Amino acid sequence: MLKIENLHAEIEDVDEGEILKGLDLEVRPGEVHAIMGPNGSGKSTLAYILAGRDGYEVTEGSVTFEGEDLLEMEPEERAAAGLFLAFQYPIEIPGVANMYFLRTALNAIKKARGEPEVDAASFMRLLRAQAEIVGVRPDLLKREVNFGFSGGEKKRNEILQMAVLQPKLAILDETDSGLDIDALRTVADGVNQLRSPERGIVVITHYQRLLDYIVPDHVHVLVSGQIIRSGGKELAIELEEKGYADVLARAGVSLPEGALHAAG
Amino acid sequence: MPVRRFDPSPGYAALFDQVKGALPGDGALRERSFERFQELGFPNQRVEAWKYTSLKTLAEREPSAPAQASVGLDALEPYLLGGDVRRLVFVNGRLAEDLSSIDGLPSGLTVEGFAKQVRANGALLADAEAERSLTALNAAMAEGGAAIALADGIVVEPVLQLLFVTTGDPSLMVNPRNVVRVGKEATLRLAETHVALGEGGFTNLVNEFTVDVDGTLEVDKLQFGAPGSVLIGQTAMRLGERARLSQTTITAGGNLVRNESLVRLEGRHTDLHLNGVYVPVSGEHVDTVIRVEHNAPDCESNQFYKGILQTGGHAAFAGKIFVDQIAQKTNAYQQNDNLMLSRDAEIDTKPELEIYADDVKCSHGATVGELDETGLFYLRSRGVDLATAEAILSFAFAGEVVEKLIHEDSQHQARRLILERLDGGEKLAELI
Repeated sequence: MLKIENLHAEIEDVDEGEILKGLDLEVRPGEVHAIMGPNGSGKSTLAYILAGRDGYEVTEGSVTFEGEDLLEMEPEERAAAGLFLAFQYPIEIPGVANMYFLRTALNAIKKARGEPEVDAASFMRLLRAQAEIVGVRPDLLKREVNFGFSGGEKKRNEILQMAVLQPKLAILDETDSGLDIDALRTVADGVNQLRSPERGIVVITHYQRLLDYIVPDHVHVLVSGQIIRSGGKELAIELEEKGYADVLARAGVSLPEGALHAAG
Repeated sequence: MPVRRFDPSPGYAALFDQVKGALPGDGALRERSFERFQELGFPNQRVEAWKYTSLKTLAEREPSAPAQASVGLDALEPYLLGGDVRRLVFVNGRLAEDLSSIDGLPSGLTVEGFAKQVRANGALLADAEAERSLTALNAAMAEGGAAIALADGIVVEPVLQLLFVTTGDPSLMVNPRNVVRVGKEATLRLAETHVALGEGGFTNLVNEFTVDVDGTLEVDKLQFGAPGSVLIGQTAMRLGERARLSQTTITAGGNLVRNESLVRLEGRHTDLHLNGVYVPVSGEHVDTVIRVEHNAPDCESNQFYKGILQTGGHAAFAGKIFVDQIAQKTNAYQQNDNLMLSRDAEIDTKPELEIYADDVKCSHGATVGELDETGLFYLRSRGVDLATAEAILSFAFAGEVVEKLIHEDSQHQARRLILERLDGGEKLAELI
């Protein structure tokens, strides 16, 4: 469903060279992929480019989503096509009620797909049910979007949005960061509920921890803008035990000094 | 000396001569006021307070007297407040008794047409020495408006609505005057609504609000102008000890709207809140001028105004805080935030502090910014199109002020009219 070929990208108007340097990835329906990598490897850049954020320039390569050129689409068109990004840093929107935001989003997507919109009563039933599953307190539904939410509440709110919007492909950008172990479990449970033969999921993470709960089918190691090694779920465990440097060395990859400074 | 005035067109004198015989009150006083207006003329942009607002076109007009017009209640429906509301409706400056309903007012609350009051007490228009030419013009020609007095100790919960409607003729000029007196320990809630149906006309408004010791006055001020309408108003407010006054102004429409507030905090421990939202679109100009005088110690004042500016819209904001030497322990705050939705829009914002006391807390802030890119992207990434995302964020920007309106229907009307002005706003009807 998602096919990334030889993707090169840089940040617009900043002369710092390429962030992504020839990235290849294919995600098929039903698969869960984990992309692991140290800070600065290009993980978030990849997530933002897939979601269509301004400020990045693709200099080479292609991205297709169900055969369509994803890079030509506006962010809202990508959402309507079934793509969803759970943000690493969810945005606060003061003045807009969370449940209104979610209903507007759901109906916008339904409308773009030519499906009937959901009335307020049915939506509330759907929302309450999903909120319970992903552990979002009812009062947070009435509050302003992410405004004054704790880190964990924001992350759960992202998963709630995903559950309501039911995307075909979900990209989770460092959804584990800032979560304690209980919150991590709830969030992972929410994601696991959404695993299905039709849905693709890409989990972007720095640590292996989240992958204990969301067990991936494929693990990719992203370093300096390229996927330098791919494997099964055991690769994540190997990374955790031996660290990035060791895994890379054994893969015969040499890196510039400092590239792994934040590998944890 | 540079010229600091625009000469009124001869049409103003012709109109005065035409109508003066029928004006209520002391004719000699009216004549003196009109002479004073002629003497002062309309201020031009060399006058600092008028730097960003030109009255040239207004001065050149040939104003006409309000024609008798009949307006049906159904045409006013979108502007009426529901619930247990009493109201006075003025059509083209004159009290329309058939549209008004002030039966069953609580005892202690007197509501009359201003014309009736002025017949009984001509001195109500003693502005012949006015420094402000528009006030002198109003004193010469004021006919409609409300005289409201609330006796000591009376608390009136239901909102009293004053609805001013102009119809059709753009050359029309009306001079409403409202005098509101809230007694000691009394509470009054008002909604002052200005609506221009048809092309507009010129409304030259003068308000006098007085709140006595421990009194409270809350005012929703809703201004729904038309493309050709001009509304210039000055509200003079005086607050006694521990008096409370809060007013929220929503300006949505009008070729030229200018709201002047002149507030005198005369007793200790007064509490003043002036809030507003203005949303000028192409061809519209909204000017807010505030002077808050802290003339007694221990008072608090807040000014909180937000502007949403779209292509061709122009707004000006000048808020002054004056703190007298004796006004120690003053807390005075002012915030003016502006959202520019277009590069082709203009905001001139000017805070001013003049402080003669040394133990005070005063602050002012003015911001001019665009919509938050990350917020827009977040909404779009959830499937919301750009125009709707912009409307949602703009609407949310105004929300903080809109929710200060005291009557639920005022809030509803304000939201509806703000949304109508935003590109993509029509899709958000269910937000309200």
